[in-house]
Amino acid sequence: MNAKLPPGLTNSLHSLLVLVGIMFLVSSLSPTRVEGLGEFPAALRASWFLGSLALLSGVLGLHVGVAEASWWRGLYRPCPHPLRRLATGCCLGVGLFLPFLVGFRALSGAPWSGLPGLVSLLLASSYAWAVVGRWTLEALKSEGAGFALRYSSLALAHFLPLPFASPISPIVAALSLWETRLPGLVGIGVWGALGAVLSWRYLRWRRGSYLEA
Amino acid sequence: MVLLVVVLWAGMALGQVTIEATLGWGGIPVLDRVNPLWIEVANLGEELVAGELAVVGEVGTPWRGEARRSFSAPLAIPPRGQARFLLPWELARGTRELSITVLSPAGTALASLRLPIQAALTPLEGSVGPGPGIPLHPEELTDPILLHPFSRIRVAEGSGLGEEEWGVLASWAAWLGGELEAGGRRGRWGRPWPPREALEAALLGSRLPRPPLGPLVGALGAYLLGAGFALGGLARGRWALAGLFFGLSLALALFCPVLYKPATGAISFGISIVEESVPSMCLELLAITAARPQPWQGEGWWWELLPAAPGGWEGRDLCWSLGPHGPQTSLQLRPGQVRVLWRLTTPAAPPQGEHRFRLAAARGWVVRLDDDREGLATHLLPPPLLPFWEYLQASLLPGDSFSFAISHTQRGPDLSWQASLSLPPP
Repeated sequence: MNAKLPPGLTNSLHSLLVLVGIMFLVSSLSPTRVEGLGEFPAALRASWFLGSLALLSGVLGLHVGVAEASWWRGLYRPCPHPLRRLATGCCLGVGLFLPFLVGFRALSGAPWSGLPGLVSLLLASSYAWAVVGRWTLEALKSEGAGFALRYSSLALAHFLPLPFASPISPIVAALSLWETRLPGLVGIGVWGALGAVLSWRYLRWRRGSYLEA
Repeated sequence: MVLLVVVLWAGMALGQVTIEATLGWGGIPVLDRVNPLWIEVANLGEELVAGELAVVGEVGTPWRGEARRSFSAPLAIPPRGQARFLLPWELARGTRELSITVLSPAGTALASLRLPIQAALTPLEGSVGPGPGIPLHPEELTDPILLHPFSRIRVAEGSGLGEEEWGVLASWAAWLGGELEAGGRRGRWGRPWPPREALEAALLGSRLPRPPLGPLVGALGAYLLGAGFALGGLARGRWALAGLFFGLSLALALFCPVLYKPATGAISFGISIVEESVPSMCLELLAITAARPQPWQGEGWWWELLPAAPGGWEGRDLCWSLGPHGPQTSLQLRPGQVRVLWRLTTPAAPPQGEHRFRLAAARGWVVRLDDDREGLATHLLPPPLLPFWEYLQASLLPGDSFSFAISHTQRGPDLSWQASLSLPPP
């Protein structure tokens, strides 16, 4: 049972994969003549694809967390290693995006150096959101309130720091890491630390709720 | 005639370093021409002076936009020694003074000089040997570009010019708009240059390499289809097949660079115009841009043809430097901005696949000499040559033949087209 993927997650992963594939194709379009370079700069292609990928990795995390929580709820028994399974689900999802990232690197002529940082950010961000997804589904009785809380916080975390170009937003951090600039590391740090804190708090809450039950 | 020679005693070590500079032949710089700039730095002290010589000039106006021209060279002068520089300095509108500084390795100014500029609007006349205008000595005829401020040069009989000096004068006459008088005979006027817009159009109309969209769509479809099966297997705990599938997909994605290499560096269109009567020197024009902001560096001295549009000069800085491999020109490329550079240089071998044409008697028609086919130039000329058609019509006569060859290379992220145009004597 532990080695199986929640059936509800396969559709989510597949739809996210289709979305990333579309982003990939759109960002692969390039001008036919030199004339078009000024109107279609390479930087725009990178920001389009990487920004979408950063946002979709957050969505991926939420889907992994929610699918895990609802699957184990249906099995009427506690998940023995919830965080390990969340991490595996996120690794699998980001791993599915990896061929697109490798292909995009080749198409945009970017160096390899940006790739490890970007993958780390996607993993850290999706894992943090996976914990959020799982926790909100288990803690909140109202499905609607859980949905609103999850996606509004996701939108806030991604778009609120954008006007300030703050690397707290994974979108900004992803672009920064792709260009191997230092602020991107702040993004990895923030999302890694957030994932760790959320995991610790979630485990404490879980232990408390079982004791109550 | 005012001789613009300014000497300044300044700097550290109680006036240890002095700078003396003259711009233009006879101290008369000419506007919109490349003028010789003589700089002499003297070390009056008893210690070695090491550092850098920096020359900076501003060009442009608030209406045209403003840019900077700068030069730097390493400097090491022994005690009581001197260092001399001869720089081909292009004088554009808006330059009121040149700032010449000797900097220490720490960046402090050891000496500095502000050279005021009062440019002549009309070109000069000169004579080799006795004659009117600026006197020119045969040993000064080393580089045609330094003769750019002249519109007319008279060579007196018995001036003792060697073959090399005559070559310099012929190149100057051919490309820099000069009239050469020698032995009582008048030489010809210089050939016109292609307009800046032609170079820009040739570059902007060039085709970029495109990603192979067909294979990409096919690979994407196969991946998404396969992922459907693999993810279904994962829900049943079958990890081995899914792992194999995703591993294979990732491995195939690593081969993307084999199919396509993007041009993310400098993208340039260069054309060398060779005149058959002056085979030793050609006019080289280079239009250059880039997909993302980045610096560009080229060997030798390059000057820029600036655009006429309001504000078009803004930020078009040009920097020359003298290194161990000779002079270098560097500038900053921006997407959407085309820089058009020019220089006189020795011609390289033309690209393979030269096509020969002859201007037909009917206006707008050419004869392709490869197959003797006559037709409209827009149909018979190769597309990269079409932006130069007006220029060719203006500078050739019916019956004149010319040849054209073009090749393109992609070295790493840089993409370049190199064309060669060979013209008959006027």
